[in-house]
Amino acid sequence: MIKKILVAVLILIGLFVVSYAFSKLVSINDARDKIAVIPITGIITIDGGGIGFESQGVSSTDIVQYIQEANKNQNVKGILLEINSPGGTAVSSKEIADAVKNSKKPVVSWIREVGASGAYWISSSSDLIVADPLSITGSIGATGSYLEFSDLFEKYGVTYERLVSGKYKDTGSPFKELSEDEKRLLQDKINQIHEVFVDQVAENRKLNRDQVEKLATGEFYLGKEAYDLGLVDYLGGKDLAINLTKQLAGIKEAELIRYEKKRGIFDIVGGLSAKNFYYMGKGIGSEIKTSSYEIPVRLE
Amino acid sequence: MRENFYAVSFWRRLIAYLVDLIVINLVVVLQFNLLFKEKIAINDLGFLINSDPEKLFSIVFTGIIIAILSVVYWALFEYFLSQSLGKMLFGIKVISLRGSLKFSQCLLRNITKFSSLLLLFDCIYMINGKGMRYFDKLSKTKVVGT
Repeated sequence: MIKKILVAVLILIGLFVVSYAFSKLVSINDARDKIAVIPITGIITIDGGGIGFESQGVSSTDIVQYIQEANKNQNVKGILLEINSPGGTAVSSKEIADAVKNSKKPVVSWIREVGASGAYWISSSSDLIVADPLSITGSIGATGSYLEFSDLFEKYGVTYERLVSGKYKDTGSPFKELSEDEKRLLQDKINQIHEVFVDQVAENRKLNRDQVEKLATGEFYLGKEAYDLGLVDYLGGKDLAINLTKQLAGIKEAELIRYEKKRGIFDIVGGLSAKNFYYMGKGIGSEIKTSSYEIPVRLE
Repeated sequence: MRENFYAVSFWRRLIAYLVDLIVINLVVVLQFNLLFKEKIAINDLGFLINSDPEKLFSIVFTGIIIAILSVVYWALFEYFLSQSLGKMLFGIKVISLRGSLKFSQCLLRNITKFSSLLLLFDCIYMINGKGMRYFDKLSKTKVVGT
């Protein structure tokens, strides 16, 4: 029996050593300079679940992780954010913007179709912004608009029984009309987010705050307009964005590595069932709440 | 002492095979996974293949090495101990139908484990009712319970 165990252990050690040697042999080719390409596509939320009717989004948790991984990887010399997003929630946008600012490696944002609002906030925190003359960008501002159904429910004889422990506890409930007081309260929160947004863009782009405040009407700008206003640095496409990343990284040649999550069949099936169970649970639990109504304040 | 052998069910062999796969993953594949963490964990194999033929070569090369080492794992265990770790766990062993078990027989009977598709075709032969893969027959070996 001991002989048997000894032989088994020897075979396993032998295979382990040979595998290790081969893994080292293959890794020789892996020392080239790299640029991490991180796509930011769709509505930006914490979990990538989207907002309202937009079910597809990008998760700030994932993007922050990719930025951190790219920073840890010694072969990655620069980061290229491939942005195609109308924005997202305030916190998720800020999380990514903070990660970009904390990056020790140069970050270039390449705005494709759209890089507006929260996505523009993220872009502004990078070292350079490249956009197509026809890209949609800017849209600096916050919104908390939502659908309110109280009149519709009234029409069908459905009434809202208000049972709260504080007068603002159900602020933002879609089943009742907002009071003037509540409207003022929500508007004040949105204004505060707006101020932070403007401050950040001014600081990131090294622009005068008043100048940014004037631009922060929520209006979107085409790439060419944004360039004239100092909101983007270069007009161009992918090649220019890659070349600028290489320049900032101080390298001549680089391999592109895409950091993104690919959804397999199991993710899709798993995601669907997870969502179904989530809504089922939400339906069951909707009668009793300890949390406030979630006002989806968005930067989009 | 004379041992009593009996035929082994397909399912017992399958579970033993799965156990062996876990062992191979731990001993062999895991090291390559760590190496390819950056390349494959980011889940964009298609992008890598299109962007870099050299990397494609290293991925294919790694795949071949893993497959060869897997075959070697079974061949060595069966040659020295007549059973792999999975077979040991389920009381199964390999015997030669002609004299003592030779290394060439062990190698031949496990050669289809190079690819799961080949193994699948090899296993189709098991519907012959004798519970033998085609390469069991070819290598003149038999899997028995002890």
